Amino acid sequence: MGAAKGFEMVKAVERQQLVALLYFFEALRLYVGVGYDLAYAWGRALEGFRTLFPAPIYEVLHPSPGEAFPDCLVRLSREWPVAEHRIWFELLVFLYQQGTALGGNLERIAGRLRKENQLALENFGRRLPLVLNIKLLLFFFPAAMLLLMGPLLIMLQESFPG
Amino acid sequence: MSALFVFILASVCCFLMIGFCTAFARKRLWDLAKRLREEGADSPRLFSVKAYAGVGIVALAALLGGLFLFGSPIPGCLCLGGFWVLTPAIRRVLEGRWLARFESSSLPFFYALAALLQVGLALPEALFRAARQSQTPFSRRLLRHLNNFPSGTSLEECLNAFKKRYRLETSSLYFQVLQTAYVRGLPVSQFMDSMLPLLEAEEARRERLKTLRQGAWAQVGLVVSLSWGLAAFLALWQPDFGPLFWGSRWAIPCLVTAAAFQLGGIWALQRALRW
Repeated sequence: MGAAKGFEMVKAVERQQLVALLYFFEALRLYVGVGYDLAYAWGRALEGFRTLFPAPIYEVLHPSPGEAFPDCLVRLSREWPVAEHRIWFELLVFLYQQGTALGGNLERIAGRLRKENQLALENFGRRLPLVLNIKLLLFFFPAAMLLLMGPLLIMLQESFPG
Repeated sequence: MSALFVFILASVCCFLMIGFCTAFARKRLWDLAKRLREEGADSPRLFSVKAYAGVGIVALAALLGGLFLFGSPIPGCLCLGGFWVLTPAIRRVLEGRWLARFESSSLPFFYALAALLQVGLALPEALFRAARQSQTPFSRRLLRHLNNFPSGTSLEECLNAFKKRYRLETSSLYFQVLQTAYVRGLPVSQFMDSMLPLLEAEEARRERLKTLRQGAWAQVGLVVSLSWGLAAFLALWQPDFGPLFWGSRWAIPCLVTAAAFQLGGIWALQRALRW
């Protein structure tokens, strides 16, 4: 049960990280789309999400004091909590250093994350009946048995005290 | 036989009384909520008032019902204590639901805004017109904040106050991007075109999650009410059984354990349904 709960929590944290990253890239895409430089857009998008992001995610995305923006991207490409998403930061480092137009690539990254988010939602919906059945069996079935069988057993015990 | 009849009659009266109290409380609370909203009270305060008043009424009904049904204040007092503990959770749920509904109602507003920006209106004027035209909770409250604009408050301050007050999720970000684009003189309508599909996708995701959660909670509600309902039916069907059950030292532990299991299940399910 503990393992199942832990698994669910890990999944919930992963989903939160995915949603946070998706929002962040959507915001970046919008800012870059209307003509901002990536470094400026990064700061603005983070500012917009200050209250919405879970604190650890905000701190990871925020450049440390004295850290240059490309170094922040390099750090994220190594340290972002979800290993599968580090590639997007690596790609950004490369594109930013090359000075390539980022709008289209950010659109692609955001599109990919949207798809992942959609898949995560579908997966959540598919797994939900199983999770619900486990909870019903572990918590609600014993309670129903106690409520229905408990009084009968008490009655039997009282009827045959010996 | 006559004792059974009296017991059934008493139970029916008790449930009618609880139902009447709940309906009365609902009406009173609705009026109160409406008045507070008109006065411009903060939503967290409004939900605190609703939660505490609702819980107070239900607890009072449970106390009276317990007195009437069992002739003892103990079950009612237990319910009262339980409801008091649950009040912050009820308040959070009410607030969360309201905020979700509030944010969902932003879509018509943003569509109207996009249309107005496309015909060439400036952002402040488009915001005013869209907020006036789309009669949704989102636009009504936004309009209340925008009304400070003619008296000298900057658009940024109006929108920041709005975002801060209602703790919006995605719409807050879009307002932020809109503001930045407006301040820098960038094409806002171009940005709106790419923003609307995102808002729609977000709305679809929210609705899907809501449906999934509602289905799960409905099943749990059915299981919980069925188990207690069947136990009550058993007690009514076998009138001799009541005194025997309540006389036993296992009666209270049995009921408390069942309730603890169910509360634990609700807690576990609430964690599993987190997104």
